[in-house]
Amino acid sequence: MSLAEPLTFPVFDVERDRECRLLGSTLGRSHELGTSHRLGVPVRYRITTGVETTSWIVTRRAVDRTVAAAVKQLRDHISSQTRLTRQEIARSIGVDRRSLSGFVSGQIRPTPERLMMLQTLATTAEWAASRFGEHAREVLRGESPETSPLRLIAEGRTDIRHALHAVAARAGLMERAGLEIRNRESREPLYRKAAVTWANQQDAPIDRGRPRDLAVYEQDLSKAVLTNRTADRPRRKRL
Amino acid sequence: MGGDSALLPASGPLNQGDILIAPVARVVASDLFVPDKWDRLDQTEHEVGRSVLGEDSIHVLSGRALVMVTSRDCHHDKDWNIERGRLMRSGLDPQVAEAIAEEDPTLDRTFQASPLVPMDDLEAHSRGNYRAGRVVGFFPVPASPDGSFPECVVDLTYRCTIDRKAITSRRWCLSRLERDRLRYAIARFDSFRTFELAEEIEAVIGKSITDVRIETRTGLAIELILDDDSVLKLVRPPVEPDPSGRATI
Repeated sequence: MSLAEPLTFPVFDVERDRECRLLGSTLGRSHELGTSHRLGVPVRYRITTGVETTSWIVTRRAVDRTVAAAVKQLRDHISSQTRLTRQEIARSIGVDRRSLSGFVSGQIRPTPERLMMLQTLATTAEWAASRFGEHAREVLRGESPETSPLRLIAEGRTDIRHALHAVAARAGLMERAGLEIRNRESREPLYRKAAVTWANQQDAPIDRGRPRDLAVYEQDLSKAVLTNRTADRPRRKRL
Repeated sequence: MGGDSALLPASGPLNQGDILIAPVARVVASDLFVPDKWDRLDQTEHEVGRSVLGEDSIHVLSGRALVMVTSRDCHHDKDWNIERGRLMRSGLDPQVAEAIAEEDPTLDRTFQASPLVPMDDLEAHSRGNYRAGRVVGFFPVPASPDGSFPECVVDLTYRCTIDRKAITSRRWCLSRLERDRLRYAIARFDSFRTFELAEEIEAVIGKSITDVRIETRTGLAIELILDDDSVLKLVRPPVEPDPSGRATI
């Protein structure tokens, strides 16, 4: 399963006689056995196993088994990428360790929000592992549980890369942004002779604004308003 | 274009056509590509590392250069003059109003300029076209009367936004006629590209067109103002009425 893609399940649309994929969150919110109001068409689905043609009627238990398998796959992937413990993974999606175990065993059905958080964590873990290597866990955990970037996922954030960069920079794990300057061996710059020639006769440097004949401006400056002054802008009417 | 009449000593506020010493910069790819004509401008390489942001470095080539101001006069110090006028209308003395406006960091004090490139740095076989102003994107400038720079072109293809406080010094500016030609070169480069019709008219009459006026009431007459202040009036010939009896304009 590619972690960049949303969590989906292959299903068979009985009425339309074709395969399609349902989002995990769609299945999780099914109110009736084998139907989904979220699709707008209350039809029965059959889950297929990849390319195999065998299909069967969706039952709630079958859906739960599929979701549980997906949760386990995501959890194990996160662990292998970052060595986060199961407790840390559980906290990252806002549940305790027992609940996460319940998701994996199929005894507890995760809400669509928890599934999305788990998917976000898996994507983030994969990215952190590629960028910070063996320090990925350290970066994800942050300096303390209270300031851990993982808390942001539990709060519903889907992109915490900047927070991870900040932690990595503070920990000295990243090269800081810097400026490197090198002189080029260019031909003689044209300005040098002029600078010498003008040394004693140049016009005074224009280091301050000058009052100008207002006729050069395309509008009456006495009625003009500075556009960068928010206080001067008329307030937008609420509809 | 004669050097003595085309360039005048600069004075007063910043104007379009002023020749200054100022820093310039341009952003390049990591291979630091430098066209030969810009070799004198690109004196320093800067690599701005942005790894904390997870992004690639930015490469900048910069240098100090002789530049010509290309912004129209109505752009310069506009915010400053608006604020100065507002403060004076509120009862402040001009000097106090100017000092307050000068300290205001929200007022735009930038202008645009393009560097001067020596004619000798351009391809020899094309210099005649550059001198005649026939190459779009370049404006010819004669050698300075004081010998501070040779015959050049203003390279309008390199345009830089500069803070006026970064200017080192100023000495020359274009004469009024040459400023009109500069505006024409800028307009042609930015908008028209090939404005052959005007060039053909100028070639036929042997004079440069410096301004155009249209009689707004009827739209029948167009006046071309020439560089010797004479006026060429173009009048639309009468046309046959259409079947409804109206003349089509």
